[in-house]
Amino acid sequence: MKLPNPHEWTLKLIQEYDDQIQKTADEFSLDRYPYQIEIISSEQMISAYASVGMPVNYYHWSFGKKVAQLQKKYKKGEMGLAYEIVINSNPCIAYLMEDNTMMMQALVLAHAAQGHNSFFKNNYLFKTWTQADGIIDYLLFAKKYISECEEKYSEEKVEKLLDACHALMNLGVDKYKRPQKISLQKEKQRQKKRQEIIQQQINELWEKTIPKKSKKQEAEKEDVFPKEPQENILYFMEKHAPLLEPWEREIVRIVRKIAQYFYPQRQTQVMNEGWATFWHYTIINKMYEKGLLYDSFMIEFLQSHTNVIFQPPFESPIFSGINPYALGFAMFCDIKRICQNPTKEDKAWFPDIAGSNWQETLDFAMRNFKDESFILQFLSPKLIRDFKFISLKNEQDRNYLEVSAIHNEQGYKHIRKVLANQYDLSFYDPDIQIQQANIKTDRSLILRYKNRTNKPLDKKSAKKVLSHISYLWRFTTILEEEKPDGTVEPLYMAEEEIN
Amino acid sequence: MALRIDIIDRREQNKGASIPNRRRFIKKFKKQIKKALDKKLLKRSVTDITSGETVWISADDMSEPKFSYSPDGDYEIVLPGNKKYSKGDKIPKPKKRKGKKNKASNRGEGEDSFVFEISKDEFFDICFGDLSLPNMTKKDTQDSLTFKTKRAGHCSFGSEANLNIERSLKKSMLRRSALKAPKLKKLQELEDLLERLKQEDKMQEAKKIEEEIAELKRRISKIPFIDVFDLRYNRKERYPIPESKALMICIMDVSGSMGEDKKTTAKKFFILLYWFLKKNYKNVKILYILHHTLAKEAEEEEFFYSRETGGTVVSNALVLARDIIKQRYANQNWNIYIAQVSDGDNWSDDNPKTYQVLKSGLMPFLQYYFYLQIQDDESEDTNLWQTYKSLAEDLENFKMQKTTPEKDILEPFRSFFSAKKSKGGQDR
Repeated sequence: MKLPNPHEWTLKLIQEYDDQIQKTADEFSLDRYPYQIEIISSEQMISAYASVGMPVNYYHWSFGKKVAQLQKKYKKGEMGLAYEIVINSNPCIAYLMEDNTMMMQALVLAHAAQGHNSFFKNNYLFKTWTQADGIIDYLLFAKKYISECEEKYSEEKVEKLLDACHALMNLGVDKYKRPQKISLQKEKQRQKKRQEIIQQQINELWEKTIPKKSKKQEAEKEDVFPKEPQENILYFMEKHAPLLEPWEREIVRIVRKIAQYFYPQRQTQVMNEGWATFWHYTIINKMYEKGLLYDSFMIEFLQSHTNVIFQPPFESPIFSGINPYALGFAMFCDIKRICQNPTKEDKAWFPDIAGSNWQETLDFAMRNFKDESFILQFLSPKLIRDFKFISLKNEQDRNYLEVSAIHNEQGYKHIRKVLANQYDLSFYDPDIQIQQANIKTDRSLILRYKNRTNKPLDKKSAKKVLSHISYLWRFTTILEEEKPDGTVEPLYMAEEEIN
Repeated sequence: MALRIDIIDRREQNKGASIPNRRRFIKKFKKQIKKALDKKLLKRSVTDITSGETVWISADDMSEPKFSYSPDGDYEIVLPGNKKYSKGDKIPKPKKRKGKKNKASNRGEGEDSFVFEISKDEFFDICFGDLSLPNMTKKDTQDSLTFKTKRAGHCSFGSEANLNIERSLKKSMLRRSALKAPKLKKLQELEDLLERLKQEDKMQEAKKIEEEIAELKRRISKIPFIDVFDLRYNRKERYPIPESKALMICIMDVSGSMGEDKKTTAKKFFILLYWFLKKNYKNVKILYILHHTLAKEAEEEEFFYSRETGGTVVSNALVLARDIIKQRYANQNWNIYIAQVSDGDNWSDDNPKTYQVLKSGLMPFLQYYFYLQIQDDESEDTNLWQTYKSLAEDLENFKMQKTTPEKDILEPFRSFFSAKKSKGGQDR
């Protein structure tokens, strides 16, 4: 019995498709969270998309800006596969947009409710960094708390604070420490306690750190605070900014917690989209083999699928970076191929996985890697040839780019290394840490940019972010640069008057 | 075995969830949006009061900064789709941002500008939201469009939603006890009698009484617990809220000395006025007077598209306005305003009369008088300007402004109607 394929979907049909999709996914033993399906309008989809893909979030003008942007894009039909949102929560929530055709709903179900869902549940970064059980409750708490602050202290104050926090969102994660679990109950209690104690502690800190005359010299010796440079600037502000009100610290904390929740997503884009695309492709094809789908469904499906994994070459006017769907999908397919039909080359490059069980190997790859390490480990020469990858090198004082490697024997390893590095967060986020807070003297704050590879900072944005930091710190804030040769030079200074 | 998954239809919920974000966004960039809309505002056709606008504003203004690398630094990057290059080739660097910017702006929108849609309500709210008619103090209930309801006791009919349960039950209790009381009394008597008869062993009579008691009990039980005439409803009364209504008389000089550019500017001014009044006030009436040497009342269409011309006698227009007010609007609590636009070129013998009509014939009836003079050279004081000026000095509700056809008409328009800048005069 084939599943009907009308253009318009119905709730009953979605259910029938989902039953079959689940059954087929179970045949591949995909491990996933329980999930629920919600139908939403395009307006709701855009709105959720703008609030960083979450169904609830606090209010901020930047989300309104994104909605305006997306509406424009949506009307022009430039949204690609944005007809799908899936929330990393337990149970996982998959959104289907009402404007989708029946085929699209089936594709999204296989892609999101099976693919993304199993990735969220099993990838080590998500397991370590996000708490699927608590996130929706936490966002509700955040929304309510921030709304109350707006009422109590004015929208303008809250906005300014959120602007400052948002500018530091990428610098709000402890990259090496495992975060604590969020629980709404605990969070509420903790927040109350914090509010009571924190101001007291801060005051104490200042009292204690004002050097007494007799001990002055001694004090200067151990004066360096913090002892080690701090990479988590938001955390540092929450704990040590001298003049923040308790409610302001709480909001800094909220933004920091949300930043942390999204930290894995930024590092697993290729894998996550690749995994979901691989599974929608595999599941739908399997269903077709089982005789569940009409040819008309498959033709429509393949058309969408092809659009999703389209990769224009870099010199094309529509090129806008490497398509994570394309690269990820190609890599998972390629790993399967290496397992099933390894060539001589594959055996030489991947002796461990060539000829192994493909499902186990894919599962292992999905669980234990992030984009950077995934590419470094699994990108094969064949794929480098298929994508015709080229690596280009730029040096500041040259007026040309040099081709450092292409898709040939001599280039494979180099390209793989450079491409992997491209997915390391440091490729986009400069390494900026808090170097020193002169809490005993003028309370100025010094941040240091470690420029290891001769990449200067973008001036305009750096100045703006610095003024946001000084808004939080409320005293003179200085940004300095450590050059590749180890010398240190001050870059900019921002001051914020004390209220 | 697959789990049956619940599908939740959320389409009807959370509608407009992003409205608060939208409001914050527009509030934050109101200045820039307003600037962008001002240009659009002047290009609109008179009748276009229903459409929104597309707005361009600089993306730089609304950037959300993050620390990032300068694009000029050293880097190495992998790209897909190499067709012709080999190792060691040198590719000229793509041109710097400047070129990109030009290319983008040719298409109307580029990375440097942010484009979005504004709805018609947002449009007029942003343009006119902070403007108002000054000194709008007269209120009346006669033509009021808004009503409030207040509670006004109880009544025995109404809709079920307004049923007052407490009152209804009280009524029911009253009725029941009123109907039962005599019967219960009778019952008591009969039962006493029955007792006596039984003691006296008059069984036959006792049986009769017993039947009577049974009948009485049946009757008592038949008294309904609640009856239609127990029901009481909360009564609500609609009463009109006193509202202010405004009359705006637009006087436009269409004499020969008003060149085409001046007329266009004058019309723009009145279009803005028309939109502003229509958007911000429910109870507003707009009348149009065209004048050269003669004055006449015109329809909207004629006013905005007229091609008449001639000499200038201002007083005729003022006399016409005075007569209209006296005949039609004198006794009805109208807040009356006049907005006049002219090039200030009046027949000089007419100035004393103009002064007189304005001072004693019109101003006593007016909440405010707005005079806009459009002339080529702003420093020049025309005879009409001087006449008005001598009058305005003693009046708080007389505002006058000069502008030139080249200048932005929105500036004098806003200064007329923005609450902050009016020179007192309100709520005298």
